[in-house]
Amino acid sequence: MELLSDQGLRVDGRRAHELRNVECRLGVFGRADGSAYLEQGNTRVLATVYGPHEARAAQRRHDVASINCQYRQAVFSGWERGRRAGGGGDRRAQELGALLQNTLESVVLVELYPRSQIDVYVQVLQADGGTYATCVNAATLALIDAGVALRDYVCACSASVLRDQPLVDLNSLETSGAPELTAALLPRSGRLPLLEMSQRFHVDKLGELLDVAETACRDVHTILNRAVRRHVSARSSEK
Amino acid sequence: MAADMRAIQPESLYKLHLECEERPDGRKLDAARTTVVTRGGITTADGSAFCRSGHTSVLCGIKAEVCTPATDAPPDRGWVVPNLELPALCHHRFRPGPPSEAAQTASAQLLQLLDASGALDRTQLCIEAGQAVWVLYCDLICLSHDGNVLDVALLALSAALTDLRLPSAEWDATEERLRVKPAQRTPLKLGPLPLAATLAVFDKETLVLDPAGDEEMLCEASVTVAWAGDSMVLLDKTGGCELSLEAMDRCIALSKKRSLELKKLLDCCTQSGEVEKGE
Repeated sequence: MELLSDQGLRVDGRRAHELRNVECRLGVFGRADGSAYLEQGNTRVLATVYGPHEARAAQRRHDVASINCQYRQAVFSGWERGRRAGGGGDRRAQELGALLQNTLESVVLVELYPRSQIDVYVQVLQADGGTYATCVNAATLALIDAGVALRDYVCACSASVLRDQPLVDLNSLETSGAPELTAALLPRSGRLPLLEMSQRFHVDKLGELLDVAETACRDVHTILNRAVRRHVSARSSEK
Repeated sequence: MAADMRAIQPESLYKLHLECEERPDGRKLDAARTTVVTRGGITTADGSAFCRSGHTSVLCGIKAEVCTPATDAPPDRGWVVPNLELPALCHHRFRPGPPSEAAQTASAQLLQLLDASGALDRTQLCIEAGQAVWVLYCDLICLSHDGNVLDVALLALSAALTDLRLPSAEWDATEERLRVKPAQRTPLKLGPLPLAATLAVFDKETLVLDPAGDEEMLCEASVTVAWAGDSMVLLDKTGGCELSLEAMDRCIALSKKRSLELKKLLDCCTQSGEVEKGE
């Protein structure tokens, strides 16, 4: 099966620079302080935020808030049945949780909430590539829904280069066939709080790949921004 | 003022509500929350359903795997492994970590309910006696906890079982291996599925159907009754205050009525992919 046809179409009919269909909803769970549901193609993620609330003694910091992130992937989310999560989940889940915490710490105004804790829980319901990027986007939306003060949006996307053609927003089939770079962008400042790739890749192509990833992240930002504005105006017109 | 009283004396405020025969969310004492059931939302699972009742929501995904039956187990039966998770994201009182006692108890109860109802004949899950059987891993995740998770989880499990489509599998005796055709799928033949109704007890006499989160915290006892068709398959009143026989009869009657409503909801759901709200 060709991941990229001669006409420049990918397996799902997209062009190289096109994102998958995005559906998002904020405030899906009334009981949580903030929540968001995000779909990028067949990848579906739910993010919930509790806080800022009083921090437990071990995590309390006198001058800033501590952010606690947990990443969980549902057992039925992948094509193969996942390993059953024991305590906090397997090592990969813990690593992604820590990565998410680092990404969000760069954007949450933690100085405004000393001695408190913000819990961000991300649950992957269905995984079809670009899972971590979708989690970061969902976490951003959930933080906005919770009213936590943010410096900027964090918009993430995955990208790759296949036969000299840069691709964005990979699905699981493409991830298995090409090296995947996940990048997160703060659109206002143009800075990257996160860049992750763990496969072999030629450094000459890195510049082009970063440009393509940045453009894709800005596209994601447009979509998320529109969703947030729609949600806020719907909420304010209810009152 | 009501908000202050809810923070300082929630029991007294709730008792005032009960005296007026109306609960904080506006329901009558014997009214359940609006319940919505949607099947087939998760394409990576072999069967799935999402069920929401008020603010409590549970997602169930079933994955079928092939396994060799254990030597001390019946060789022609598959098995079902329900597992309910109450992750930290569903309510602020849950912390990340190993499954809590509540989650483990609920998982065990779900399996017991499925067995007691006899809805699923395990011999259907047999591919080749002694060599290959299906194991159904039913993973339920509570996405939002606002009381009465067991009823909602059971409904999600029942709906997911009706949504399940098993791939066709054949045992090749000459080559001693299994041939699975994932594209050809068949549904299970199910008997009457178990459906539960929980009631919370206040002042030993007042019964409240489908308790919400705060009601569950304040109640003196709770009774769960599950029905599969016309048979009762579970009657659970563990601890709490004592209950008169008359009050128990009322519990049983109310739960039967609720289980009929849930059955109607599940049947509508079986005919189409998504069902509109049902009371």
